[in-house]
Amino acid sequence: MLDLRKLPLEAQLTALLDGEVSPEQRHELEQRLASDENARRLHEKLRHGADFGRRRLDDILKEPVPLALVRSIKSTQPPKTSIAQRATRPQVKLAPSGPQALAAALILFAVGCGIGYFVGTAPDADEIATTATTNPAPANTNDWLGDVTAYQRLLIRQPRHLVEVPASQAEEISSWLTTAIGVPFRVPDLSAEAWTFQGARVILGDSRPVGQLVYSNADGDIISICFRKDAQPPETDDFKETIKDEIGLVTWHNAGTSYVLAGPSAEATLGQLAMEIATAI
Amino acid sequence: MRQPATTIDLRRDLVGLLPRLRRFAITLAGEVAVADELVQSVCQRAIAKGHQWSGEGRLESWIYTLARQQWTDDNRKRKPKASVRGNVTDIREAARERSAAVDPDTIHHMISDMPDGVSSMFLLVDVEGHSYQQAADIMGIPVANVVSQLATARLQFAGLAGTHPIHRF
Repeated sequence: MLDLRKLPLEAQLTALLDGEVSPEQRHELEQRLASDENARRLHEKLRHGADFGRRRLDDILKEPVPLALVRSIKSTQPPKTSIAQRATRPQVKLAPSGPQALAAALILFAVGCGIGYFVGTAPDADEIATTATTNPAPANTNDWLGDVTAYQRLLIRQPRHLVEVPASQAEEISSWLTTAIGVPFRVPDLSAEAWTFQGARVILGDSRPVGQLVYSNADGDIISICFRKDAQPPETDDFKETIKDEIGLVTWHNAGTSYVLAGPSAEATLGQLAMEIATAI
Repeated sequence: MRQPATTIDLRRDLVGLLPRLRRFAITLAGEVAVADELVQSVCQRAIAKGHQWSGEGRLESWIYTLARQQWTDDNRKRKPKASVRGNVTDIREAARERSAAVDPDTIHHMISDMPDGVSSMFLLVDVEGHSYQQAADIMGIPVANVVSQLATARLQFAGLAGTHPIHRF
């Protein structure tokens, strides 16, 4: 506990109001309050000031938080590897003995000869260039994400016409999208997160059909799950979050299908929601 | 790459904490625009240092401490300049001079008229319910100074209460 005796009376009474006094100090101060009119007035003034300040500071919480701050937090990427892991990594000391160094030199020489042989017998660079240009160009991921973002903006602006087939026609949605997109899927139930399934659409993403499942919440916010068949390698990066102005996108890939969850960029749980959808769809 | 769950949670928690963190930053900086810059910088620092957050205790205590440290560092880097934040008497005189031109009936003016750290201390103890020791740790000052700052803040608010009654809001 603080030694209050050296402090001015207003500080002592402040500590009394906050219960940060010892029983003896409390007793002394209460006795003084009972006998000293000025101390009583000061005590009341401190209490009144605390009440007034508390209410005024609560007013600040009613002010809107700038959206730029929310976006800034959501778009900040964490460090790729944690410092703790780096610190605990065992150090490898490279100090080979003479025979080890000789063996390594011979192995490197043999490998170098091998590479040189294969380079010498490989076809001309012009031939490779010709062959490469005949291969179909890989699908442009950015183009389809751009289309998904544009459709999401369109949805936000027409909340009364969100879907082509409403949620009530679940079987129709299932058979229609499975045929149109060419991938099996389930409609994820996001009611636990307060998102209600509204229905489905088929849109075009980079000139190819994309299935779109549309959800809304009580605040009128709209999210949509978009998916399309693709030929990306299985090790493609997943759950990558990007923000395009007011739209937030979380992309992932699974079993020959690319997915995007599009929603308001201010929605902090978009990434977590995407992970739940990935296990349910 | 799948992001670690702790990072996702920290960013989500930071967004949830944002209104209160911003209020704390306003008490430190006195100006909304400067406070917003401080909040942005602190959140980025917190995400970068996310591995240091053990998940125990109050997240806001850790974030507030980062904010106060950042604010102190920024102040050191800034060139010294004349500030209206001096002692209480100077402040009251400055406020009286300004009152004819600027509407002082906002909490922002009240905060900027208080000496450094006083409104932050009031916020931590009176509004957010931190103990004296916790508030002292966050603000990096001895516990003995906490009670003096609180008394100053309460008396100043009590003085303002007469001129700006609650029912006007």
